[in-house]
Formats: sequence, structure tokens, C-alpha cells
Amino acid sequence: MILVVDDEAHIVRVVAFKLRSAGFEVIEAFDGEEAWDRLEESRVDLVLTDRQMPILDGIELARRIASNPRTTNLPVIMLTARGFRLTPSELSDAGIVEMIDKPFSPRGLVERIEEVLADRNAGEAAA
Amino acid sequence: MLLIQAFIWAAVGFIAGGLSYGLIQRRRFDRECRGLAEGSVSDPTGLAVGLRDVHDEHERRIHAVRREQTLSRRVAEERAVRARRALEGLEDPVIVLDADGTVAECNQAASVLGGRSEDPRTETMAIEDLLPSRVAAREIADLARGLCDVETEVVRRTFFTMVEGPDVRDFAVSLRRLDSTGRVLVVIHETTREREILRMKSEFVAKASHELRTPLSSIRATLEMLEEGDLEDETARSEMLGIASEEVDRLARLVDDMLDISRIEAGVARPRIQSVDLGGLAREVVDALRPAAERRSIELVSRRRDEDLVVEGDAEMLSTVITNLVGNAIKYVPEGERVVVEVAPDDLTRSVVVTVTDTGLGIPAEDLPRIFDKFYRIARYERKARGSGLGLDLCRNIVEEVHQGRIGVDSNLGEGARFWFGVPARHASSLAA
Repeated sequence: MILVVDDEAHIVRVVAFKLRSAGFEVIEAFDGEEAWDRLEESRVDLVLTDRQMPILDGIELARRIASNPRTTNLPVIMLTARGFRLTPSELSDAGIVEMIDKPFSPRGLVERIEEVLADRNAGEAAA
Repeated sequence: MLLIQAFIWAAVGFIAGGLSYGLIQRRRFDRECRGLAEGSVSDPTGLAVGLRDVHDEHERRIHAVRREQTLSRRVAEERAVRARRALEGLEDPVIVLDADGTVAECNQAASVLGGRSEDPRTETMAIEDLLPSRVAAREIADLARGLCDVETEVVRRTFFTMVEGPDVRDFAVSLRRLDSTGRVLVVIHETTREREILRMKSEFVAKASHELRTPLSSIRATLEMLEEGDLEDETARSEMLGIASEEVDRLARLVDDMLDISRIEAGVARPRIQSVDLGGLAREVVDALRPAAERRSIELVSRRRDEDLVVEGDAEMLSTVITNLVGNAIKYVPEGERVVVEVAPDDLTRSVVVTVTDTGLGIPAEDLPRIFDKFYRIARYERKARGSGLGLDLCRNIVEEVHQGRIGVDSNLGEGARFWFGVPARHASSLAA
């Protein structure tokens, strides 16, 4: 199950539609705080979040996910504006596996999510 | 006789002391002198009269010379006062440095540069006494010395920064050799405001590009899904194309608002000022927005006083303001609520005031001061339909910059909001006069 988080309702609708057509289960949230509530309610495999959001932004959400033992292994993909970069250590500290620039290709997004989940499953199988 | 002789000799000494005199007097004097040399003074009375004339002429000339000197001294003094006033009147600090680096002269702006209350201008003063930044003072002194030595280079420039509590002030300094004695003219120009404008511009571009990118994401995603056959389903296609279409409108509005605001801010907007009935204008806007209100089951009420509601203004711009305020209310209040548009004259400010009151969620107190800022959004409204983020800033610009009116908002959280703007009534200025 994939949690899609963006304060832009249209982006959430479009991304959720594409992911559902690709066969994923999707739940939606419109800010970081709401996303955290959803994570507590459901078993999520990957979080796809916007960076700039009110109340709790994408980076804070990722840090909270990384620092909680229950969610620490949950991969986070972040959508962001071009030009915003984090250092590799900042990325790994926040458990962000990838930053994708807006505007993005939905197909490319699905492919990347499939790769990340495949890596994760392979890792867990090996462990 | 002795007395006369003594008088004559004294007069001769006086004359020989460098007097200038007229031709006639000189001839007469010469004749009398010859008489004296030959030991015969033919006419002592005539001699005395002649000498008096010489003396009077001399007095006249001395007087003329003195008058001329006084006049030119006064002209020079006036010129110096004017130069001094011009120097003092300059907002930029100006300092004249002697070849040895001491301050020969400086203006008021230079004397208060360091934020001192008392005037530090004294007889011997170094540039360090004027500038609060020791590093900058030393650099300017070095550059000034360099200018004295180098014959070819006459202008040098440098920059320095001053920290005053939380404020950082930037300065650009230009140094120019003033004369051959090695004096240097130092002009200091504060560039803090320029830097601030550049920073604001850069921040605006960053925010605007973020705002442009978001609708582009939805549009691009929809196009790709359409191309790849993801939207075979009729309902899905219709929903996604609807989103893309709304986002295209949003992009267009964003671009329009950016252009309108930048034109007004740059002072190049060309408003068409004419008599505008704000009551009629408000009714037109309400009629145009009624379908949108009905879609959200919002009761849209228009009220106007039966009085003169005419202002001098640009009808199209004022219509944009009312459309934005009413449109926002319709967009952000919960379904089933009420939006009231009222137009009434305000005798106190001699203006016509349009008020848009809603029974919605209200605006948190901390958001009120910033609600008219560019791209400012209230967190709790984020999930609602979005506009350009520039609507209220455009309204403020149109009302305050173009119409010299006032715009504002009153709200208590949970009790709805009341947006209002007032534009000077027609003939308000002639009434006030």
C-alpha cells in the first residue's frame, strides 16, 4: 500500500489514479500531520510525499518516519521543485530514497516505486 | 611758511607712497613739484587746493576698490555657503580627506554615519572617527593614499557592510582625487535597499516558479496518461481532463496576476480613470459569480445603499478587486454558508466602501497581518481549491496604489471574515478643498 501526500489536491488525485491503474493500493493525505495519522492506522509499504506542505512538511514527515522504530524502514520518495537538493547524509538520515522533480512523469514514478519496492523485498528476503 | 613746507613735504611723501591719481592732478602736481625744486612756490593756495583734489580722487578710488573687494568677497562667501549647503543637503555621506589621511571636510550625513548622537566633526579627525567599521575605514584610507600616489587612476571603488543590531547595512564607496595637493573626495552610498529589492525579487521568482510548477505537474501527468492509454475509462478521463483544464486556468491567472502586479508596482500600469458606480459594478460581479455560489449551495446576497456610490476609478480593475474578494469567499466558506456583498458611502473618509462578509471559518489572528502578501496561504485552508496566491496582493495594489484607497480584513476565528475596501468618492478632493 502506498501513501500519497501533497497539499495540492489535484496532484494527489492524479498520482493516486496512476498508481491505482498500475495495480497499487493507495491512501491519501493532504499534509504531514494527516499522513502520520494514516501511517498509524494502516500498513503502508512506501510513502510518496511532496516537500512543501503546511503544518508538517515532507522533510519533517520523513524524519519522523525514520526516527520511529515502527516505521524506520519505510522508504520515502519525495516530490520537490527543481533546485532543491539535500546532501546524501541528509537524505539517508531522513530515510529518503529518492527526490523527484516536479513536473514528473507518472510512468517514471511508477517504475521508480516498483524498483524501490523490489529492492526492499529482495533485501528483506536476503535478511 | 615752514608749516606750509612741512605740509607740502608730508603730502609729497604721502603721494610718493604709491598713490594713483588722474592726469590733471598729476600735471598740476608735477608743476608744483618743479616750483618746489626751483625754490619758488608761485601759488600756495592753488597748491593746497590741488592737493585736496588729489586726496579726494584718491579717497574715491580707495572706496571703489574696497567696494569691489567687499562685493567679490560676498560673492565668494555666498558661493561657499551654497557649496556647503549642497554638500549638507546630500543624503549620501561625503568626506574630503587630506593627503595625510585626516578628514578635511565632511557633511552631516557622514557625521551621523556611525549612528552617533553628537556631531563628531572636530579640527583633527581621522576617517576612523566617522566610520563605525574599522576595517572599512582602514581600507578607504589605504585606497585614498593609493590615489595620491598614482597619477593615472582617479576613481576607485569599494564596498563595506555594517552590522547594527539585527540590521545589516551595505555601502558602496567611491573615491576620487580632488586636486593636485592629494586631497581625495570620498562618497559613500548606502545600497541596503538595492540589496533588499534584489532579495525580494529573487524570492518572488523562486516562489512564482514553485507555483507555476505545481499546475504544470498535473497537466503533464494528465497528458502522459492520455497518451499511454490510462484514461480509456470515460469517468476517469473526464475527471483527469477536468483537473488539467482547471490547472491551465490557474496557470493563466497566475501569469495575468503577476503581470498586473508588476505593472502597478513598477508604476507603468495605465488605468482608465472614469466615473464608476461601485454599486452597479458589485451587482454585475455578484450576478457573474452566482452560478459558482449555487454550485456550493452558498447564499450570495448583494446589498447597496440607495445613495451616490460613484467613484473615480478604473472599472475593470475595481471589478477585479470585487471578483477576487467575492470569489475567495465563495471558494473558502463551507457549503451552505452565506456571503454578503454590501456597497455604502463612508462620510467620514469621503469614500465608497465595498464589504464582503462571510459566515465561514474565519481567519486565525496570526495570519491576518500577512494575508495580503504574495503567495501567502493560510495553512488550514490549504486543501481547498487554490488560486494564484496573488489575488489579494493584486487587490491591495489596485486599491492602494492605483486608487489611493484602503483595503483590509477583520476576522475572528470561527466567526467568519469581513474583507473591505474603500475608494475616494467622486469629487471627494474638491469637497475636501
